[in-house]
Amino acid sequence: MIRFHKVGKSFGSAVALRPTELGIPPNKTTVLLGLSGSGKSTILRLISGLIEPTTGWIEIDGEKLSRRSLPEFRRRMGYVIQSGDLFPHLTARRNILLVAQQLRLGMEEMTGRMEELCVLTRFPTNLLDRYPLELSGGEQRRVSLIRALMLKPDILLLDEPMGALDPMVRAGLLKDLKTLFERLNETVILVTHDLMEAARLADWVVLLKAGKIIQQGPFAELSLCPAEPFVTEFFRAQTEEAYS
Amino acid sequence: MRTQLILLLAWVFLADRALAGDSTIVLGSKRFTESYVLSELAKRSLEEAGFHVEHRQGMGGTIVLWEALKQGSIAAYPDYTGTIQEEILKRPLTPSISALREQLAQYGIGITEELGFNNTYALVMTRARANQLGIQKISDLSKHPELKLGLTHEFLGRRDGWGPLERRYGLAMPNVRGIDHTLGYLALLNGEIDVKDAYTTDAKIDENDLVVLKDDLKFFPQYRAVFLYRFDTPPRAIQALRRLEGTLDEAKMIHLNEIAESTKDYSAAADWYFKQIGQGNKLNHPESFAHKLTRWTLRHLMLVSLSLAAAIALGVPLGIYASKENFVGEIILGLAGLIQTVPALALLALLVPIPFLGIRPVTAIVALFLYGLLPIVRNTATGLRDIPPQIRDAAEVLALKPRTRLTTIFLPLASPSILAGIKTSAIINIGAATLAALIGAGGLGEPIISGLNLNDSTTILEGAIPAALMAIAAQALFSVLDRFLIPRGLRIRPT
Repeated sequence: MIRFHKVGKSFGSAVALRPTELGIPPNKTTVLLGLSGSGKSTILRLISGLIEPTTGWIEIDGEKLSRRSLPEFRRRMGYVIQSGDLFPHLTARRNILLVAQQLRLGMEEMTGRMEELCVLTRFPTNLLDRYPLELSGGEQRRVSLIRALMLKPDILLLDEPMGALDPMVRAGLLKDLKTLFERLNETVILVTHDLMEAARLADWVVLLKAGKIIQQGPFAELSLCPAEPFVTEFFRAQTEEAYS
Repeated sequence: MRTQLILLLAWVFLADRALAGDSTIVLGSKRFTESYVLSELAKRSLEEAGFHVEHRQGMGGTIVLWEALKQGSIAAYPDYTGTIQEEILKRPLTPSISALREQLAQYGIGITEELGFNNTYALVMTRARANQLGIQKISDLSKHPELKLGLTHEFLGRRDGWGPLERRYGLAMPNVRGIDHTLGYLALLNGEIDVKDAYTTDAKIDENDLVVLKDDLKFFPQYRAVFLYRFDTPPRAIQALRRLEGTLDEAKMIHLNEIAESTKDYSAAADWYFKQIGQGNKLNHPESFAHKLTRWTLRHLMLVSLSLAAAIALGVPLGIYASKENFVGEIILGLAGLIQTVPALALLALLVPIPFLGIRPVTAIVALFLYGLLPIVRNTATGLRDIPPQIRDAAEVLALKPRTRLTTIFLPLASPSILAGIKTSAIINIGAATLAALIGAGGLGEPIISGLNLNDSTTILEGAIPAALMAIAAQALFSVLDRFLIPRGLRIRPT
């Protein structure tokens, strides 16, 4: 269980996240939904320790996240950033195995794990020796996912993983992610502005606006019982766009 | 950082060892023909006595040579009694050899007897202009304050030079400017200047039919040619130097200067001299052009590669520090930029007085190293700063150790920029290394400097063309290196 206790984040005078109370349920997929600048990515970056809260504190399984405890927590997290997070000068294989190599883990076991994940994410193993720029956008995302899952994290963080993909590729990846999350049965936190992704993947949706949580609950609840006009508006805008 | 500093010092020491051969007698000369010729004579005489001799040609003016002699960078060089008295001892002595010898002894420096001629300063004009204005002696100049004077920088600054002369003669000449000695002759013949300073044994006086203005107030002291040498020079070498005593009168010296300037070859003058005294059959074969070119090129490559290696070894770590966008980073970049704004020649001049450096090849290498630093530091810092934030985040959340992060991720990603910096630095250094010849460090600057002295563009091109070709070759070499050093993944164009 990840808990936010009055966690706020400002960059100078710009408020990215207002003091927030938030509980993220374990072994479920939580989707942080909102427009750009709503603070959804900030929450993800706070959990991963890439930035530190200005106020309040974060707790993971009852332990406070601090500079001291961060390395320990990082071992338990996998993080997939929007796009371009693969090291361009390393092949897909080396990108995936880099951390395992650094930790001097058994290569045989790790290669086995990598191949297993290739199957799970439907990434063709014959592409493993290609460089990121020789892979399509969808393939790159899959490599990024495999890399994040290598050390069996119990928290998987995804920041707009389908952001830069074209619609066809995206539909395919979305389907695969759904299967993957069900199989993994882990705590997944996914950031998106896309209603479709939330509808398909989320067990729990957190809708944000201007650094503040507007409503949270199962997707159907937000859709059927909007807490304020913004929720209705957010839903309608994207649905209309889809049919126009 | 401390390790790097120790390595740097060790490198300076090794470079110094590598460039200084032992048991070699090093001679210096000033930047004018007669000085070159005299040292060339001394070189030949010492070689006859069985020594291995290096002649560092045209190292600079009196003070540079004197400091080099005191420091021990050179064992001997030719000078003149008046200059020693006025410029070195700065005492109103009668410039008798014995009086000078007594004074010089306290510095551990010895002086030979006179070589035989007096080469005093003189003011010269073209015959046509002098006749036109009716000028015969220096005091006549007071009637023509409109005349333009082009004087060497050394003459302008000397205690027996322009300032005191102007006061002594009560002159007030407003149009005085500093000009290189050799170029000054061209300016005089073109009519851009009317009067210049010269030496009485200067071959150019006869050659160009110039008039020497009479020193009617006897201002100029006697300038009798001698050799100065260190007391710790081997006695047999001193003997060999002294073999030149009393063998050169004015006419002979003018002739030697003429030979040197007409053949563009100082050793030809030495050949003539030794033929005169009946040692013609022991002549050294003049060095072939191919041999000289190889020698210059190898030395040039050595200067550039040693300085570049050091600039890389220190520049990349400094660039890594400077890539942090903080105060220290800005200071490092600022300082490296500051060094680059100092003209290369001035940088050399500033390094010469530093103990342990002096007039030696290692000083040139240190100057080139400092000069080559900025492009490497800046490109390393920029290359690292330009790494996209997603990559930084990815490296951080993967919990890579800082060292791994730097060596396996950041430096390879910055490698195109770092290599471009090294390439720039190499090309700058190939150009700047031609100045190394000014402090006797050799290289392709040697023919350039001596060509400038002889006013001979062919000789200049003998150094300038190979230097330009070397720069082009360096460019090509680095393009090939890029293929090996920049990771393949970065060279792929996205499809």
